[in-house]
Amino acid sequence: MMHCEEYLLYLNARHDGELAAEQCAELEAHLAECSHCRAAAEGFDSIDAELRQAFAPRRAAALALTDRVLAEVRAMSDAAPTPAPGPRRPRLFGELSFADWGRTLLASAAGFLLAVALFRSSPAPQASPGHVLTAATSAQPAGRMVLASGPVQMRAINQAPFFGCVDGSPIKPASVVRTGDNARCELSLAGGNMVRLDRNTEITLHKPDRVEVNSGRLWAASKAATPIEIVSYGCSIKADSPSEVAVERQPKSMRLVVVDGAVNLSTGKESKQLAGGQQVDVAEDKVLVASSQSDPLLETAWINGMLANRSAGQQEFRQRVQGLLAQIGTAKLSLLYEDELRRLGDGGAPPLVAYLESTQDAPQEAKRIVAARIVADVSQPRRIGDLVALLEDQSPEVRYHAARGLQRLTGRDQGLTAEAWKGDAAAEREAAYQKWQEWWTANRDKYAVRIQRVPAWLMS
Amino acid sequence: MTADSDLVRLVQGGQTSAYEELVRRWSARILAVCHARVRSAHTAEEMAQEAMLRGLRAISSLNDPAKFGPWLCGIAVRVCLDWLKCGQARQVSLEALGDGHAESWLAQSGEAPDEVAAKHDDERRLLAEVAGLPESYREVILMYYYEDVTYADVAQVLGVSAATVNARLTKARAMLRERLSGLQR
Repeated sequence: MMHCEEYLLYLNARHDGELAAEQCAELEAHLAECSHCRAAAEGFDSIDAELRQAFAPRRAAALALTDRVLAEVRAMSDAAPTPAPGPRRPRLFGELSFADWGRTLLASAAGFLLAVALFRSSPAPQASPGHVLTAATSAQPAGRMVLASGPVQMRAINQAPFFGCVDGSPIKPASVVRTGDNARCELSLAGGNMVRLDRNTEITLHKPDRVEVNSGRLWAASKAATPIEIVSYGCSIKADSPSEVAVERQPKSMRLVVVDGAVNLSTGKESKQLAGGQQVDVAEDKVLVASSQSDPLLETAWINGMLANRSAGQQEFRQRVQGLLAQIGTAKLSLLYEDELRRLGDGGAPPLVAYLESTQDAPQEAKRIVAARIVADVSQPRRIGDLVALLEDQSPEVRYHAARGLQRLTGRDQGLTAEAWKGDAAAEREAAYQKWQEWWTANRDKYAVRIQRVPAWLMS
Repeated sequence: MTADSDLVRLVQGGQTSAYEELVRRWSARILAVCHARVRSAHTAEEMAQEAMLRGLRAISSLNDPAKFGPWLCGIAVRVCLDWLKCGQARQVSLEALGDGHAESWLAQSGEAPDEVAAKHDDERRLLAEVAGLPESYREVILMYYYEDVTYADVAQVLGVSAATVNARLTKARAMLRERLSGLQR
């Protein structure tokens, strides 16, 4: 016969989703009879909620720390082309010990497995372990792949075949990098600039500050003192630091969108200075200012999906989401902006929820309603807690959408229909809100989705 | 997901960039380990950064790549101990700490004092109580709340069983509840 103290361990583990089903049943049976343990269960819920809230800034600090360390690691890698191996790394054939051989073979095998995993469904040329390791260990890199949402390949400019390129892979000068049907990627360039490649895009990275777009779409940010030069369709685009541009290469034309900053576009026959917000098409050496200018945010919306699922760069993602939201109700084609926000799916919900929480007293009802509607439509069960909190919003429409989202995710309404959340019956709302809170406290383990770190190269 | 051990072997084979994924996986837990020891949020971040960079420099000495996490954790502990040893003057006993202790213990780097002061009283009180827990309990709380981890994740770093993690978390939460209710009386 177990004592209450032992059931406290069960309670704690159940609260954290760590208790086996069999022990859960045993615990339930005990709780039915023991008011002391029932009270303790409530205590676990409340202290856990308080701790999670109190630690929110520390979690943000941990993410910021990760970014700082990654920057240091990259700087170390750039400073020393063949860094970490140390004394164990074999330099001469005659110096190899048995252990060295084992380690080298293991490293080769690991590289091979990674490459095979990356390309098992790709019709592209097969990766070879030798290529992966050779590419990773030679010459001062011009850049490095920060993340990829699918298989990305690269090769030296005058060599074949392509080989697999995983997160963190250094990219030598004069390398061709290409994405396929299911991959986008981000490259950090030596010197601090950054480029992102859309699906089905191919670039040649000549030098850290010179990128050629062979096909597809490229986004580039020039953050460092060294301006980046983008070459495509016989044109040269020199971005003054800091600036942000998007280039789309078509077989017989090229489109340039200056998102921010200023750039100089030279076709060989003419030269143009372009400022943020401007976009031009170049065809047959002629620069044509697009008759209808589309919003750079929409033109570059393809990068949002990359930002939504990563820990770093959340500030950029929030800003982009807020930029899209700001156009709703203002721009002529508001629906386009709403569509972009919806396309982000559950990954786009956190900045929208944060927006709703931070604008409780702001007179932006229309935008808030759109944000709530999207959150209600796209959220996954891990957002149930956020939706319950939105039931207390001052806006009847926001409450309505929160209730609608909860009904969609749980199949429940706790006695108050979504429509009724718009009403004036404050007492009824309060009672239903309490029920939702109690229900969520009792059931969140069942809906708990531990957010697993997914390697960026596996992101969809 | 690529195993830590495979990533370690890649780094040992010369692919330093593979260390970036290891940093992403471990930084929050390493920060928690440091925070539990140096008791200053800002210093803990410095110590954790130093530990992770030392880890990269010393990775060729790691004989069992599967034990990367505990190994890095050991480095973090040594970095903190070195700091504490060298900075005796900075070390302040918990009893001697005044009201500002919670702020120092929890302040985000770059956070202005005014913003810290504006934090909700209950939250500050709770965090001050966490700071005052015995180290083994404080450590498990920090590790559990710094990121979404399982008992097994915490157990791996601490070199204990998942059952021990459960026991420590249970006790730590109970102590916090008791101390907070005592304050409210």
